[in-house]
Amino acid sequence: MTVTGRLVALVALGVVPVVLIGEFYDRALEALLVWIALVVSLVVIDLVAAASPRRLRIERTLPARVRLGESATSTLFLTNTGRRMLRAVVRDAWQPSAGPSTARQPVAIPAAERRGLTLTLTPFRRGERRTERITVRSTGPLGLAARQATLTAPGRIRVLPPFNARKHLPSRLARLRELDGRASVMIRGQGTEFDSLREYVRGDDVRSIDWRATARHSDVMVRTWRPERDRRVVIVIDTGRTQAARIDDEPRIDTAFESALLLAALATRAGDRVDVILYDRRLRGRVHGASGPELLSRMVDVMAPIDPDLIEMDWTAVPGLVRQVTTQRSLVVLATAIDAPGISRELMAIVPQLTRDHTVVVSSVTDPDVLAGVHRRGDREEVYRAAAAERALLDAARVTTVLKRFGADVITGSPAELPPALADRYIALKAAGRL
Amino acid sequence: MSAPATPATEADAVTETPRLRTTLRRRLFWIGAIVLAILGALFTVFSSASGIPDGERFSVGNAGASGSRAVAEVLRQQGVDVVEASTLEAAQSAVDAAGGRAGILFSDASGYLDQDGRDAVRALAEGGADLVLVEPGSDELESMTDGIANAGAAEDSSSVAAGCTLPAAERAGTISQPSWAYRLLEAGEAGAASAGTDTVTCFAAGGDSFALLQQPAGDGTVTVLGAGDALTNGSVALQGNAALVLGLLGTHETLVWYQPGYEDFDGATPTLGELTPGWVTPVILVLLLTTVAAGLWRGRRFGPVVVENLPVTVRASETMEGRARLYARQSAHGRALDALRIGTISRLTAALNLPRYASVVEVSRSVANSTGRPVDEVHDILVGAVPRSERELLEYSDRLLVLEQQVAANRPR
Repeated sequence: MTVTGRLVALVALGVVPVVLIGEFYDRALEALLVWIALVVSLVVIDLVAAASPRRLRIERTLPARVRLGESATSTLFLTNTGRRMLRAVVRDAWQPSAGPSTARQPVAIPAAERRGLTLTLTPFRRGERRTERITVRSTGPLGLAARQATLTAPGRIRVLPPFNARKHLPSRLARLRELDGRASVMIRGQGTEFDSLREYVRGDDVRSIDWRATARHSDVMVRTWRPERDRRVVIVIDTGRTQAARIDDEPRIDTAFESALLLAALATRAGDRVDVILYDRRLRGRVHGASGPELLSRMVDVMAPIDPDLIEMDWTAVPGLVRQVTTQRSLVVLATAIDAPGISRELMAIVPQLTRDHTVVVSSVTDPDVLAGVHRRGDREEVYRAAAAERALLDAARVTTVLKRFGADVITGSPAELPPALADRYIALKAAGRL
Repeated sequence: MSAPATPATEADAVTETPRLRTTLRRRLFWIGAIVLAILGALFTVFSSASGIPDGERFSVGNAGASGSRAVAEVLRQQGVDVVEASTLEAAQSAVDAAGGRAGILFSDASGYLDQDGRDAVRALAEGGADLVLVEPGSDELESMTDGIANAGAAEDSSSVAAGCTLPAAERAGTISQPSWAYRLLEAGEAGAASAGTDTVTCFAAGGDSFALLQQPAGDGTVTVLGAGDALTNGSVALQGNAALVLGLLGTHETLVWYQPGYEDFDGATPTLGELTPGWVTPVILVLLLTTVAAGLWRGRRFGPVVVENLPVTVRASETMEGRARLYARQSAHGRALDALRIGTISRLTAALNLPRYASVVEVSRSVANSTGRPVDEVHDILVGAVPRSERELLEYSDRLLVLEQQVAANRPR
């Protein structure tokens, strides 16, 4: 039960009769008591006459998924199963980060009818966003008091990673097609698998002329090459504590997801098979054996609810995980943070095991703040800051040097640069036939 | 992808809010406890008679030794209408209601009543009432009697005989020791009786002082009673006390028991309470109720609070900032400059296309070649000089930057 502002006004209005009757008949106290009795009886009448908020049937229509940054429409259908007209305010208790457009919606439902309440959700956090219950405040005909009840009506929406890096996809795909022999100009060295023979056209590399075929045909024939297909790409994403740190107001893990999505989109178009492992000390998520559009949708689905845990990444298990996926030579991408030798000791320890069998790329986000800090030396604070930034860069450089010496490739970049940089590296590796 | 499917999830509306009945049943213990506590408090208040005990002397409501409930009750049983009055207006209206012919008991030990009030009381006696002044002070004697003055405390004696023809005193015979004695003023003394002395004096208490004096006043009489103890519950039963007071007070069908209270004091200027209109308190109550209603209106929560786990927000550059502050707090200029130099040297090595493991000497020689500055100076900037203060740290940091810029500018393309 609750009261409305109208009741407050009505009680306050009691001043008028109390003053008038007190002034002219000297019966102020009696007037007050009568007024209170009147207000109380009106409230009771209103409460009794209000439709029961409990007699509702609830249905929800809600998209299962929405990409972060986009909006979804949630519709709540309420059927009044009571015998009275329901005039109510309804609150659908979404979690704040689901970004509901409004918290409270007025609704009037005649007996045995159904009404839909539409709510626009604009989530601002990735993951599973939920609502567990709705609260209905049914006001009486006088609008003085209301009956209130909370009803269970669970709803959930999965907020997927935004995949902003998809804007880089068309240009990278174009470059991939150039490699693939579909583009007009063939350059030897782009791809290593023999594809077919065709007639020589001007501009072709003379080194690719197949003299034996030329002899058989009456025309000059060239061999065409295409990049290898059906290679494997294994993306291991670290979900440990270091991935929780924010760079440019984006957690490292989100950048890792963006890079992984772009790489996977590219690799699956290039005909490679992509596996994704999300791991810290336990397997947090895994995408295996999917390709094409299904791969991406499964990846975003797996990634959506995963937040970094505040535990240390266990790198020692990673070679085993990769071995479970494939024993074939493949491209292993480790999406992690390269900070300081102390933190990255385990990573450095296992990289040789991986590089023995695979091509390993370690991708890490660098902080633009640190890079900018190095050259800003206006005053005392800034010089100390520049020194600390140099120290941080030096720490990272030491780890990078070690990783490179062990045969791994290291890619660093700001959150905006890292996904295309990783895609470019993939294309370069593919072109060089190193997959 | 944003809205691939719109599955309708139908949910049976399970109500989480308990019904009023359920709430009441659940809270039964506490509701019962509160009701019991209130009842207990009320019982305690009412069982201790009437809130604040009446301890006033001669008060009708006082059942203690100094009170006069016994006398009042006996009078009531005898058919006398005992009207308590604590204000002059009440006393006047009670006397008026009895047609002016009533007994008035007047006792004002605290002296609340002023001169005008005392005159008004005497006027009642002159109008036909029988006024009994119990242990009056000199002010009262002066304004309400004719030629009677205080004679101090009465002499010690276990009993005093009437010694007069006043019927009440005669019936009493003897009374116990009176507290105060009074005397008639001699002719010639200031304030002596103006119109002869038809004053009856009883119960001689040494010399020419008496415990009871009665004189006519207009149509009524004024009686001065020095033996106030005779009225009290503790002493009324001694000797002829009861006969005396009952005889004195029971002369009329109505007895106004007038003990001036606080309201009679300073009655000339009305108090703030009297000036405010009667509706002010109810209006304040209305406003209070409005506040309560507004509190209920705004304070009622619209369903339970939604709980959400929020991620920790940690900026990755925190560690760098922290290290910078540590350097600054410790004034670690040497260490800070080392870090800056290592950074500069590695960038210079890259800029000058030197091997990655080139020594500092090689780097400084290269830089000197490139910029045209002396090798010693370059070496000094890159490793040699030891900063002794923060000012020098800033200076060397700037020099390092300048060196980098010069190398970058002279870089062969």
